[in-house]
Amino acid sequence: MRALGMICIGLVVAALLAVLPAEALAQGCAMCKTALDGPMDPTTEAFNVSSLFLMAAPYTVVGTVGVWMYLSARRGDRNADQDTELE
Amino acid sequence: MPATRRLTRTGAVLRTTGTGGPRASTPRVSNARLAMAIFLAFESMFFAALVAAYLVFRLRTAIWPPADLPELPLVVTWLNTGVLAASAFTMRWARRAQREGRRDDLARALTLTAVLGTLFLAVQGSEWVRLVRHGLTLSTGMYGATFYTLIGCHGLHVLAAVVWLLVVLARAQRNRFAGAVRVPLELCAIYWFFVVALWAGLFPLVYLL
Repeated sequence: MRALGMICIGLVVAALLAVLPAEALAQGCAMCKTALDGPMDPTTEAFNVSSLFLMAAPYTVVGTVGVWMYLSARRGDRNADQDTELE
Repeated sequence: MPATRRLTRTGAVLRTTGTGGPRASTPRVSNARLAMAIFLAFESMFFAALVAAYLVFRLRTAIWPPADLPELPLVVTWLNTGVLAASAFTMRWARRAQREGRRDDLARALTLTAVLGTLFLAVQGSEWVRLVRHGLTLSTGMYGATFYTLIGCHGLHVLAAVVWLLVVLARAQRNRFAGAVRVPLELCAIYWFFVVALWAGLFPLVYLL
């Protein structure tokens, strides 16, 4: 019970720490914000496309690896079933 | 009832106990495959970062390549792409030969794959020499820097794959049985297919876009 309480307090502290410095982080990228906050020009568009690509990349990679692992495991199961039948 | 262990047709170890049925004690996905998957995930993210940087420079520039710099060689690179694609088929042939225990075919297919990989690198190298002579170097500007970084990193990966392949080939020739190189060949083949698939993405992006 005490451990559960400690975990809850830890989660609240972590949530507060995650929210509090948000303003400071936004200010840390002043150059990018100035360059990209204006009208839609080729530079802005290039950064947007690049950001979208980088956002999609981890999901694609993890998804591909996940499907590959799933198919490998299923193939392994099928071979094991065949072995059992042969026995 | 004591547990008994039996070796099955695929090499998996079956453990039979009194309470349950036969149960495979080997993992459903081999550790080697899992490690390779994690490694390739890292590799993919490395190239994703390079591609993202390339996209920024490419899309913000109206005229690409810059007027005073040479265009990339398309015809030769198309042919070279065919060479690399053919190496994927010879690698498949090698894997099939290994599974069916045909040792001579295995050595032949691995040698052919290594030759195709080396040919790809040689053609890339000769094209690079030609481009440098025409004034496109790493310090020419963003065009040269992004091209040499992206394509150079892929070339280094192909080189690593060829070296790995030669090691597997040497082991295959040293052993009497094709089955002795099953895991090294499988991992090498996965890496080889990754490098080929990577080129299928990089070639249109850098040469055709």
